[in-house]
Amino acid sequence: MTPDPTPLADIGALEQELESLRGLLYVAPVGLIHCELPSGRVALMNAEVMKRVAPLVLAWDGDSVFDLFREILPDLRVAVELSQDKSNLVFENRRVFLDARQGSDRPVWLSVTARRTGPDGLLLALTDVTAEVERELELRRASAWIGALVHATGAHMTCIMDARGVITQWTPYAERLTGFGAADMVGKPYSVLFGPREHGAHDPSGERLNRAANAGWDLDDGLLARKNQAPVYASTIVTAHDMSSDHAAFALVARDMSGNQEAIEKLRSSTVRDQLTGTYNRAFFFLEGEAQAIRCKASQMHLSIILVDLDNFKTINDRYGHVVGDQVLRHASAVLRRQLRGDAFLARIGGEEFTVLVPDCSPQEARSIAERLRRSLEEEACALPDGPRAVTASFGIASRRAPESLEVCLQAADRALYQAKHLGRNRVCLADGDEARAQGN
Amino acid sequence: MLEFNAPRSSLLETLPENHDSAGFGVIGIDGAARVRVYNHFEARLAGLSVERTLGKHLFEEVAPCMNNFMVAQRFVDAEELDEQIDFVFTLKMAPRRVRLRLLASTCSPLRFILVQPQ
Repeated sequence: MTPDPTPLADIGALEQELESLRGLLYVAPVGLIHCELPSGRVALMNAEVMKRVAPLVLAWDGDSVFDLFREILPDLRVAVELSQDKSNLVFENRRVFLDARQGSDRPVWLSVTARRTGPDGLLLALTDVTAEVERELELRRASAWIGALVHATGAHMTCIMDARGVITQWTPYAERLTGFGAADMVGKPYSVLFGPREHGAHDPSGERLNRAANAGWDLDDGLLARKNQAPVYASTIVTAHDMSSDHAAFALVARDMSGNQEAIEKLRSSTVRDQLTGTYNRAFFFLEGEAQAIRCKASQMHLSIILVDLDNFKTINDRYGHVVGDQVLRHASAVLRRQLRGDAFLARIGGEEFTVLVPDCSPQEARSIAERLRRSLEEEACALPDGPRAVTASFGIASRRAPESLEVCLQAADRALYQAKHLGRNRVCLADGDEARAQGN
Repeated sequence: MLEFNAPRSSLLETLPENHDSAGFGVIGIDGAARVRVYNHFEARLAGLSVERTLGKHLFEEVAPCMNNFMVAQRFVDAEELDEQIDFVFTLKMAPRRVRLRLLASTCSPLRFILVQPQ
């Protein structure tokens, strides 16, 4: 039985309705993309998408949303696969960052929600949250401060340091919290409070004194050493106590936050990690990288960025499919992670692109780290369907003392990476100028 | 017959009156970005009617996909403009590649965006 043909008058009404719906979707301030699964083929997309990510749309070859967002949401496909059979919500309000490297005229933060619309449909909603993120960045330090003051905490302690950070007064509270007595601590640099560091690991204690001297205080959280006991998770504030006094210039207040550690870590890992490789994600890289760049600028330190791009990854993906491609990414990120010092910051910022951010690290140190990473990728074979084979990478480094911005460093590292690719891959290149500095020293 | 690649001066002269014979989309806006010319080719392409579009703010009410540094900003930045760019429209909610030609001149009260589907 065929349905009755729609009367002509109704067709006119339907056309009007369609046009007003279309008009609404054109101007809706939310980007909407509907695509098919598993292919990711984009079936519908509204104007706001073009407004927000025009450079990505213009550079897009193919018709799949996974290709479209390859750079800014490299783990989208994995997230969709992981959510299968669990929930229609793939993720909600994931922060995504794009800038000049994606052809954008200014830094843009998007919030992306991905939801399945059935077994073979996926809806993505994008909103521009740049203004909110910028406000949050300003508030972050301030709110950490307030949080440390008002949250229920355990014991607290204070001690006094001289202008170089050597402990000059040790209080009974400090002894109660840490178990160390005045005899153990007076005369030692306050960095011992944070326990022994691995050889070569970065010691931020001098920087913290600089920030306290300049801004009045510096807040951080992490592990605090205790005598004959496991370290405790604590918030510490270094303040300018009496800058005119040589032996009581700074004070340190620490509060036992061990009850909050788990919640803090959990929140961190769910919003800052790449779902495929477990390294930090792109959004967190730009937040943290910006903060590091500001710190390095203020304290006249070097900021080194190492860009890592796996060689011939597209060929691997094309030949063996994306499941093997994903294995290769996991393998490579695990190899990189094993080779890095404790304070180095590894993030996946594109499909097969990683960055390593190393604070307080000279060009020659950055080069030796990159060289070590390159060698270990070359030496540790990855299991591919037709046998084990090394997956190599090309490295671009920029290392700047008191950098102008993260952006400037990234662009320089990107040019160096391009050069490394151009010279035949599986090699390390330094940005212009950094090469001379590395050799001159 | 009008040509997409015709010289700017002749297009700016002809388009205010003669746009419906064009084999490409023609959008004409005034200094406040209000739509003053919207030809039938473009209306069919976008699935919007000419009547509902005329008088509206192009970049805010009609085609926000062009409200970015690649299109709208160029009209703000330059009084004299004749540029072609590749672009993607989300006409009828599906991505579609087009070539745009942006035209502006101090001699003409209207600025034009020509749209050639690829």
